[in-house]
Amino acid sequence: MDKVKKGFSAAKALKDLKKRNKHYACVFPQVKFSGMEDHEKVVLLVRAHPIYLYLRLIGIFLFIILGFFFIAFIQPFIGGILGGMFVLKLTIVILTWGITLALLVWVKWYYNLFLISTNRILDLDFTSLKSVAWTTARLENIEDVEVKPTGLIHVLFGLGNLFIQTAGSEAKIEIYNIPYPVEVQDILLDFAEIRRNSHRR
Amino acid sequence: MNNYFITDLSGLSELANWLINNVIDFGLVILLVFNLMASIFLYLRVKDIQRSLTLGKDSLLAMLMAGNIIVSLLALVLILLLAVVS
Repeated sequence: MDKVKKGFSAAKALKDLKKRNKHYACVFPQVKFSGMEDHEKVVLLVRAHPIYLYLRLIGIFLFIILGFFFIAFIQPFIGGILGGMFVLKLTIVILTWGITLALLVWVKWYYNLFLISTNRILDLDFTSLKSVAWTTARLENIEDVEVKPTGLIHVLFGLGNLFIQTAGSEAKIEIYNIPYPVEVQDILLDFAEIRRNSHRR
Repeated sequence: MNNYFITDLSGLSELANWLINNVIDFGLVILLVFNLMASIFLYLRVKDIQRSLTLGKDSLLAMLMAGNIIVSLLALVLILLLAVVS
């Protein structure tokens, strides 16, 4: 961080993010990951903006409400055949699935994160129950960082997609819907430059 | 000449009712079994990530996932009991 303060704009960006104090863009979080080196520290943790989480949770809530409407609609027609227990059974199934889906959506949001440490970047993608992808790249291997805001939500909430071009085997790292994309880009580019400079010496 | 047509359909209607009830109960049980499997997979996946990444409040999250497994299991048992009772 001392090195950052000497003429790099990343220090200002980090200070701004710390002042905003958002849980989805956390400066110096208490995070540890496997393979972390002795003097390595996590500088920034960024998740997708929670608006995407809220929209999906609203979708699940609507699924539950529609399920109850469906029960109310079919009850007069098949209630006689299936009996009163059918409504109770269907309610249990809808509520149980609703809870599981809500948890799945929340966990997917929670573990879709991007970390910048003093040595590297780490992108964790919780895409489905079957697959979780970990992508890391050394900061000195970062060649280019591109910010692309797309769509109305990005414009309204100041979000963006980040595309990081690296020299490693994983050529491009893509992070979607992150808040403060320009600040993150600034921090990344400055940190990469600092790492490259320290390697040259 | 013998009459081979079935004329008494009351037994058939009862059989149809019984079949519909059981098929729907079976469907609901299958849905809840899938739900239980999804809950277990979610728990295992979270524990797997937590082995490599510590974010804080990890035990709380694991407890929440375990709670979801218990809820899914209870729902399955309840549905099976209701299917037996009705």
